[in-house]
Amino acid sequence: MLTWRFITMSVKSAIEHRADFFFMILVGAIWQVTVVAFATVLITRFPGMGGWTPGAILLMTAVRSGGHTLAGSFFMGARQISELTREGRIDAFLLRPMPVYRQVMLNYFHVPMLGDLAVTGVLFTIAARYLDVDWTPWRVAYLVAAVLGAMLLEAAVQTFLGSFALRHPAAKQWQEWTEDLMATFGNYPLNILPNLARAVFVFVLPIAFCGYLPVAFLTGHTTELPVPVWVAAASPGIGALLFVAALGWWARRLGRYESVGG
Amino acid sequence: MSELRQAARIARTSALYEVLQPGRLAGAGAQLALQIFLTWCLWRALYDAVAASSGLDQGQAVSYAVLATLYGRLRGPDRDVAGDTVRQHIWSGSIVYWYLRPITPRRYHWLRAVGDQAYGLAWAAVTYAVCRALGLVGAPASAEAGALFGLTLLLGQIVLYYLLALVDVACFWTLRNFGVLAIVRLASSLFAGAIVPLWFFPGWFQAISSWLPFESSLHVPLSLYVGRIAPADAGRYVLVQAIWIVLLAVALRLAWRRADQQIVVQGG
Repeated sequence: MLTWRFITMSVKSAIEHRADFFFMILVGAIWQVTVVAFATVLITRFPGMGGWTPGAILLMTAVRSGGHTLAGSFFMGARQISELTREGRIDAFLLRPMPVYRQVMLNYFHVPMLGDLAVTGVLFTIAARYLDVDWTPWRVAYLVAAVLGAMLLEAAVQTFLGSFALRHPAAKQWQEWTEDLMATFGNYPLNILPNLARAVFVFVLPIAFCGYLPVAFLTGHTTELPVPVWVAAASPGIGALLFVAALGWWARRLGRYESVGG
Repeated sequence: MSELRQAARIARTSALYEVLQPGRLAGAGAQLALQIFLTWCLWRALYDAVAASSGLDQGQAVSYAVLATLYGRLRGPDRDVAGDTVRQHIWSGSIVYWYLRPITPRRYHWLRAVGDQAYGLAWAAVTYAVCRALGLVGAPASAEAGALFGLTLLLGQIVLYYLLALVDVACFWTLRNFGVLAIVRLASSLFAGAIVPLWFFPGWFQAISSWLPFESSLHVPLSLYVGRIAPADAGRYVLVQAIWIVLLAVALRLAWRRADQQIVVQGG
């Protein structure tokens, strides 16, 4: 009940400034054009990349973009931790009868969410049309799990970095940079990169688990993987594990929180 | 002289904000280096199976893409982080201090932008030199193309300044500008060719871009640099840039004048 009231208040707060609300919806629409334009360019101008067909690359983009949209819808609050700390609002969150993490996440309503979901749907449709894959029920189920895993992984990364923002406001810059990096390079087969960069995207900033590895497993592009095939197949689970670990890290950092007011 | 010194002190604010925080500075450097490296890998991989596409060969496309990454750094640090945008001052009410200083808000805003731009330019220039030394970016198609690249880049940045300043000043009426700012940033990347060079897009998309002010900020200078637009054709693009500058400058001047007349600080 309390959670629902938080959600409705966030929505009301977003609608309060109508011009801005309208433009945020427009942002979603323009972003759709961007993604569809990217897909058009890839399919019409190049035969593929790193041994992957345009259809497989588009499916990777769709999985990552779907995960990103869901993460943006439910975990966007992690990007606001720096401001919430600076304005002393975390102090108020600590006094309320609801976990602080949930309050942080419910504090912000991501307006372009509906538009973003539509983009993901369009991308899946285009990818399915260009891919020669038999969509059995388990494949569809795995695809859904891959999107959810991508969501949890992005939420894990933002939560982990956002935890630092409880003491260091500059962490927000790293959050934005990481999001940009994931949005840009999560869409391409990582076997085009040198081994060191590939290792970084598997073990340091695990972008590979957001799209590359699960889609490689799903479409059979398993010859040049930087990890065993079973690890690629377990990508959704790895996203969930990392999210649980990030929540643990958040709890630890919150335990050491000190108000800006001293 | 003292006026010049005052201007320099205002202009250097954002640069000092970043330079005096080693963590932020290191982060910005690492971010730029990684983005350039990855962009270079990406475009080389795309051209593995084709010699040329949409009139661009691999060398041209890679140079274009790497320079487009540098362009992102050209506007300097994010002033939102430093808490010195019109929106932030309107929200906190501290915008009133802009009207109490011995310098007009319009001039202060402009000086901050010039300082940010100069700082961004220094970053871009040093990184460009490193990229050239490492062979990540080719030389300009010709000396004439190089000169026209510089001219159109400068004009393009002026166009972009006026656009972003208008969005900032619009907060006197809208109070919030997250949506408009997000649209301008997204559009200025997409329609400027920063995400994918405009040459790869279908004709209808290029036609839309040609009616918007964004392509003059990046697409035109970079196409001149890599030789995709011949120097002989540059006059038309420079004229379009000049028209945009005049139109946007007039709009910004009017917006500041109206803002000065109707400023209301929250709480009355």
